[in-house]
Amino acid sequence: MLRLDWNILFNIINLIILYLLMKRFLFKPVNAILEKRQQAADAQFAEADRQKAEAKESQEHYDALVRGAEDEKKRIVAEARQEASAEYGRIVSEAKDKADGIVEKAKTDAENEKAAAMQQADAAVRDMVVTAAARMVAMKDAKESDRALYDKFLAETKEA
Amino acid sequence: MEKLAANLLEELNCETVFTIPVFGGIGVSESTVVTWVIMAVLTLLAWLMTRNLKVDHISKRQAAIESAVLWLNGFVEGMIGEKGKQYVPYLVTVLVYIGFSNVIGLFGFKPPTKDMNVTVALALMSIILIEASGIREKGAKKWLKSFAEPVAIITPINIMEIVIRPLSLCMRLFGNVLGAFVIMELIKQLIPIGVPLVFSFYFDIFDGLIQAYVFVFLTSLFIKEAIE
Amino acid sequence: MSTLIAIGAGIAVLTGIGAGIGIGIATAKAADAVARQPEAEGKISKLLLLGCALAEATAIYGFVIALLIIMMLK
Repeated sequence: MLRLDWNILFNIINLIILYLLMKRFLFKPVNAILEKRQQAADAQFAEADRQKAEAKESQEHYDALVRGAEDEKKRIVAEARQEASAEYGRIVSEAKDKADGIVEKAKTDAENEKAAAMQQADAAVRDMVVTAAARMVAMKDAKESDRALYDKFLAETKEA
Repeated sequence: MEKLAANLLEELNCETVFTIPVFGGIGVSESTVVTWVIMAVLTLLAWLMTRNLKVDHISKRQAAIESAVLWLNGFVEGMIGEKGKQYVPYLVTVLVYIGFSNVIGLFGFKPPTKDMNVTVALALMSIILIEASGIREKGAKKWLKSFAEPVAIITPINIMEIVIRPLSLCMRLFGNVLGAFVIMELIKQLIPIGVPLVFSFYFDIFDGLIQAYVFVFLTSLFIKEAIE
Repeated sequence: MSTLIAIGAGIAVLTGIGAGIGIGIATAKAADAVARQPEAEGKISKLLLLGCALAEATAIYGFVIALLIIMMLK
């Protein structure tokens, strides 16, 4: 119990051997497996990150596509609207032109007719004047007859 | 009474198991042989527990050994600090060894730590490790200078510490285990049934593990001090 | 002679007084600390355990010396 001898040396050697054994059989495999697991976890995290980035990218791509389609749609609709409005304008202006033409024609027609009527009236008046003058020449002396003639003329013009 | 004393002495004595026939016979004591047994058991256990470890889908056995190793490593690292990480495996080994040899009394062996040869060996290893870590960290010149710190006058005390530290470590461990052993033997001789069981929980298991913890704690504390 | 040995061993074991007082003070302070800061109980009990183990060492030294006296002087 209390003697000190060679056994100190034996025990030191024992301790060193035990340390080496433990290092070889306990710490080395366990640390190796922990290291491996760490690596695997790291790899998985990296993989997950990569996938996330990929998903984000494809999402962005898809978004861009959708946005493009939206733009395209808007553009087409706008184009169609423009076209339609152009057509509408064209049709309306055409119709207007036509209507204007008709109105114009009607106006000229009316004017022509009016002019014709006027001419006719003129001719009639001229005839009448001529007739009246001839009559006046015939019954120059009678003032009353003059007056009667005048009245007659007036009545006749009014009738015309 | 005489018989009790004789029995006690008989139990306390560490017998020589066999003698190596060189230099006029070197006696290999019981403690050394029990240490061999402990080494064999620990190595076998470690080997069995660490067979075909896997990265995932681990077995219960692997989970147990992993958490045990991680716990022990973290435990010792918490005492010694980040800087002394390289000394952790040795300290864990010592912790397991002392804990195991203190508890081995339960299995009918005589605890090797009851033999002063073992505790002296442990303490020698500790002081060598402490001073070596200091030299490694600071270099020989700075290490020598550190004896004169904080003031030159306490240099003798610092030098005496080289002897006192391992002496206190070894005597503490030895005395505790021996005391526990003696008390257990006395109880066993007085009341052989039932009562020793209760006391053995305290003296063999609790005290044994506490002493292993104290030994490793102090060693790591000294190492921490040496490498800072 | 054996009486003297017994007396010597008894005196050596008196170191236990110091350990007893020390552990008593340590435990009292630990109880105080836990009462003041119950959340730090884990740390405190760890320190207390360690301190007790260290304080106990003096008692153990006395015990070892007593044993040495008995065995060596017999």
